[in-house]
Amino acid sequence: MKPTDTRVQIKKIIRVSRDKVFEAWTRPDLMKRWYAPGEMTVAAATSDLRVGGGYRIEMRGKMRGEDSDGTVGGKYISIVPNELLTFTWKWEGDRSPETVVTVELKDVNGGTEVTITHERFSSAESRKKHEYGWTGCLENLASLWREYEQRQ
Amino acid sequence: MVESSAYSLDLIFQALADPTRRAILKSVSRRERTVTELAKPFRMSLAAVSKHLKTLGRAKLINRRKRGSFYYVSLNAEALMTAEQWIAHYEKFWKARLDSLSRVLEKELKKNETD
Repeated sequence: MKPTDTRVQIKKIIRVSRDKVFEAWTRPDLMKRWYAPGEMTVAAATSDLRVGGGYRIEMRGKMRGEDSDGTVGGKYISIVPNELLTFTWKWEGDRSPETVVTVELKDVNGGTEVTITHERFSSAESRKKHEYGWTGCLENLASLWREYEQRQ
Repeated sequence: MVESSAYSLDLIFQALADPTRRAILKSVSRRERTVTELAKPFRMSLAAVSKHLKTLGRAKLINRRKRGSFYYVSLNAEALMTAEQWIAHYEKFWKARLDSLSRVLEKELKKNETD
C-alpha cells in the first residue's frame, strides 16, 4: 500500500487459484460470505455479471455497537474473467458520490495476488478526463497534512 | 460512509489530481503566499495561477483574503483532512474485506482437500 496516493490501493496474496477469487467477487452466494465488515452480515447480494450489469450488496448489523445497515451497489465497467473487474461503487441513500473500484488478479507463487484500487470519480467521463493526472507521481497527501500539523 | 456536508470530496480529489495544484498546496501549507509568489516557481502567468487557485478554491482547499492590493492564499487544512479521512476509511475497509475473503477461500480449499 502506498500512502503517497490520492487513491486507495491494497494488495494481498490469497493461497487459492485466480478463478476461485474471481468467483468470490462475482457469485452472489459467495459474495454473501465475506463482503460485510466486522460482525455485520450480507442479507442479500445480486450480481448481473456483464458490462453495464449491476450488483447490489445489502449489509446488516452493528459496527462498534451502532446500527450500520447499508446497501452498496453499482455497475460493472469492465470484466476480464479471472483477471480484472472494474465496477462503480455507491452507497444507497448516502450523499457521497459514485466512486470506482478495480480488482486485479495475478498469479503468484502459491496463489493469487489481489490488488484493489478504489478511486474517486463522479462519473466514468470525469474518470477519463482525469486519467492522465493520476498516472504520474502523486504527492504524498498524508505527509502534506502531517507537515502542516507539525507547524501548528 | 457519510461525508461531510461542508466539503465536496469530488471537487477536492479533482483539484488534487493535478501536480501543479498539489505543489501550490504544498507551498501554501508552509505559510500564506501572494498570488505573485505562487506563480514564480512554476514560471506561470498570473492568469494560469488564478485558474488553478479557482479550482482549489472551489474545493475549499484554500482560503483567500485581500490585504491592500494583494491577494493572500493559505491552506484550509480541514478540507485536506476530509480527503485523508476518506482514504483512511477505505484502506481499513478493503484491508478487512481482503482478510475476510482469504479466510473464506482458504478454509474452503482445506475442506475440499480433506474431503
